[in-house]
Amino acid sequence: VRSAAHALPPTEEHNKGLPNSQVSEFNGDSNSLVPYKNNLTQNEVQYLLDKVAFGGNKSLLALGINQGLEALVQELVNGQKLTSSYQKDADFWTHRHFFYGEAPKGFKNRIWTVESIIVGQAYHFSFSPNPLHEWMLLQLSGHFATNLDELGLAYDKYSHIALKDHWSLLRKYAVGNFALLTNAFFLDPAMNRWLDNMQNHKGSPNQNYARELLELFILGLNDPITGASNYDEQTVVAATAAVSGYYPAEVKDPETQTPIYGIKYMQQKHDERPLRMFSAVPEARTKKTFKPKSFVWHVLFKHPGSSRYIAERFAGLMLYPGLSEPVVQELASLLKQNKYELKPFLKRILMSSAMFSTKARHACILSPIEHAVKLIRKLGLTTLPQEGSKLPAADFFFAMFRSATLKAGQGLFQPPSVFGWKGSCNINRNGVITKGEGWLTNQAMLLRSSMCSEIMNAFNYLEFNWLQRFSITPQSVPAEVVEKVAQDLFGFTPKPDIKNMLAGFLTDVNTSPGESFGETVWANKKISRLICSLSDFPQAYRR
Amino acid sequence: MGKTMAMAPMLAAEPRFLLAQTVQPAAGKNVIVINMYGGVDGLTMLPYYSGKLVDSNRKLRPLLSVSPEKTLPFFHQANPANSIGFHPAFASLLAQARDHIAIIQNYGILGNPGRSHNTCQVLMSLGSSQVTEKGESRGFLARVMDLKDWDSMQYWAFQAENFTDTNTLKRKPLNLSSGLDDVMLSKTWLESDKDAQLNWERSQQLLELTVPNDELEQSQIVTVGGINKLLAVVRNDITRQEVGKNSAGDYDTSSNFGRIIRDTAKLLKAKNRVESLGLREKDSLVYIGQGGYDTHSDQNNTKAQFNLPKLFSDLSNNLAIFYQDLLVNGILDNTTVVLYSEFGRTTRENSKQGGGRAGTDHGHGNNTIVFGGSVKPGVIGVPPKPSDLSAGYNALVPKIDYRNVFGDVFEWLQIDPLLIFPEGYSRERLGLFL
Repeated sequence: VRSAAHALPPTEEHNKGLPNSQVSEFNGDSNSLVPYKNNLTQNEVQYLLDKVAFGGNKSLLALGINQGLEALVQELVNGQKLTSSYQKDADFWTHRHFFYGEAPKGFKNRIWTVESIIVGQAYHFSFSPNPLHEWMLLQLSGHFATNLDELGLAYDKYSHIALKDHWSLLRKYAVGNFALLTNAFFLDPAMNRWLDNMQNHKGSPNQNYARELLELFILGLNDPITGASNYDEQTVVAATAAVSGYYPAEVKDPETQTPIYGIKYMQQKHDERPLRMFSAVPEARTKKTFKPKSFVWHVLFKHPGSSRYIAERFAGLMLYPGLSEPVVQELASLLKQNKYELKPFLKRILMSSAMFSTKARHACILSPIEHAVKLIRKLGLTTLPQEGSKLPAADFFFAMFRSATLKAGQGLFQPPSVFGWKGSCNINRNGVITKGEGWLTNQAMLLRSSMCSEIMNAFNYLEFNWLQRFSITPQSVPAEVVEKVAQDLFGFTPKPDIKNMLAGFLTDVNTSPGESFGETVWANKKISRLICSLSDFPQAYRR
Repeated sequence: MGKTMAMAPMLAAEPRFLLAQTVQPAAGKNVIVINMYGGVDGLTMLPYYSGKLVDSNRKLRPLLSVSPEKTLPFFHQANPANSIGFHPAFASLLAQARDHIAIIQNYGILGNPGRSHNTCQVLMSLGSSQVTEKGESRGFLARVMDLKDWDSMQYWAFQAENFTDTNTLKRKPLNLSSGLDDVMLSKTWLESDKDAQLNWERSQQLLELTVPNDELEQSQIVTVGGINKLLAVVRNDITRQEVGKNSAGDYDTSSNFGRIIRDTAKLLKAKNRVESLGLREKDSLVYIGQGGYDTHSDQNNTKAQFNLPKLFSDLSNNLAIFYQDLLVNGILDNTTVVLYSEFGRTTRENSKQGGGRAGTDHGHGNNTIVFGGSVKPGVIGVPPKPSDLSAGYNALVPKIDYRNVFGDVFEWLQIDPLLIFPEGYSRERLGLFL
């Protein structure tokens, strides 16, 4: 149902308005996956980092400028081994948000909570040297949408480890093997509880997991070219049998040897009937007994719609929604050739000519978490105090991240439904190409603006040095400050009338009596507000 | 005095009834559509309590069926052989609105739409019965707004999960994820109302200076215009005041739905009383999403996060108070509430587990209700046969096109349904209104 292409907003038209565009950059072919030129301009390097790596960091920017695209992509995809001190810091913040109340015996008063993994992940988002890995984790957590907060897992003496297990799976496979991740979810207590598969047994079929596995995780409903269904109701029944047999069971935590909530598979609970499936798809049509994991392999490798669906879903997020069929098919073949390893797939996309086309540039609306993390990373916060008088400010930073992104509509690990968050940049359920317009509702915009302010408040509480960050002195010219901040953080230059208006705001003493341009107190208020005004501009919230 | 008030003598003891007498009766009409996300089990919401269907249901759902003794009877029906009633959790709504409720049995998307949330939600949003090659991206509620050239303040959407429901071509509806509390909360980071005001004025000035390069930017500018109108309403004294107690009780604001329906009442009151809004004579639409009905398990487990007794109580208790609020404020006769869901559920339960753990899977046809001051009480449609329940299809086959439910509502709004629904729609009046 591709005919909705008319709904695609004219990104090229949008980009003509970007004042810093140069003829020699962003001239890739939107329909080509051949490698783009290796030598990138600074704008192009920063664009790639903004697009898939939350803005990256200074060393990645330098790497791209000095060594070119291939070296940058290798670094982004392969990543660095995390140092023990980095991991220690991440653990500090994660553990700080454990539940420390009346813990059940044997738990040393440390219980995993949804808060603890959100804070832990927020740390990785903000400080990881491997920002592409963290960005992919965010996308995968939306794809395999599981609302941990609604599961009632926290504070349960057996099941709290399930929160950590779910998070660990996503971290382990963020740039790993998609097929292995899909199969690993069969033993994930959180996913099983969310989609009821632990109640799907021989004689008592529960279709929830099988249906969403096909529709959302690995296949999709329809062939987007012909509009034909990828599977029928008979297949849902057969798939339900194929993935049956799991049940909740107490297992021992390998680390602590304490009893925890787990999932086990029992042959006797598995529905072994050979049932007909995929009647209308010759390549996948069959009638035989499947075990859960072999069923996933069957769909991934035999059904032509599967690799196509996964390729389009993730490539669309990275490049632009509404990719041409040859591009999708090439990427689908690549996935299958590499047995669904994500790294070759990511490398091909990130290095492609299409990535540096005007069509891809600013093609998607940033989600609230992408927006917040990009802001945090580009401001360049390098460390958080773990003791002393500034510790409450660091706690406030994480509290703000958690509450502000949740209020703005993207609670981490708390998608509203199995469909994930609603502002996806892709082809939506109706075959209509969307750029993430779901993030542009009245309330979402209002709360996104509020989110920016809350994050700025956290920076102020941390006594962030705005003057130093933007090299502002009392001699700085206000209009130049506006331009510098806009260019540095968001990569655009405001038009003269807007720049003058914001410059007037910087020097308007009426709203802030007693403060003068270039002082710390002034900077705390005015620069942070300036950032949030600029952050409302379309150039700032697109990637 | 409106006809509903004449039929409610018990209100003489209601202190706010006096207030209602001083309030000018509403002029424009209001339609509240409540989308019960997930596919509500209509056979539990509105169970049959007499005839052979009772036995069939009990056999197919030994753990989940509602017993006839506990089912609340509904008297406005002419088919005593297969009487349809209400789940006991609907006692509060039934007590208030029993003479202004219509039950629609076995409605849904005709044909073979499949049983995917995605597909059925989108089809219902589009007002279609099959995915067309047109790639339509504008829902039928959005088309109403465009057709009637409505102001953004005439369409409020709370928790609209389908992009298409609010995707108008002209003015954008006010599209909120939750109630007005969050709108107020969004200002809390600022030191004062004055700062908030300055901030928004600056945002608007900045956007007015922005020449949009594409439709997304244009959309943002329109949206910010909507926000400013929204904030004007939020700041209004009428909306700040609590709706408060009435003879039906208090809104349960511990739930999202409770907060949203309370805010809907506030908005309708503001619309009717605040002349400066300029909305009094105009028709309005409020879209509300309520999630949690995808009960594959724990359907009757009252300890689970989502279970039908809890969801139905939330719905019924808050709607009962809403009904009374509209009544005492002279808005009821002009308001119609439509409940709907993307599909019903399987006629068989899916587990042998006790303790309320069993659930139902995705089905097809469904039962639902429409109520309001102008709704004619009764039961519309024919009940299924026992063999329909036990057939291999494992779901009801709908006989009433869901578009005809909305078709009656649109005619009540004096809108021709044929201008709203795409080709292939066959209009049949259900007779929902007095």
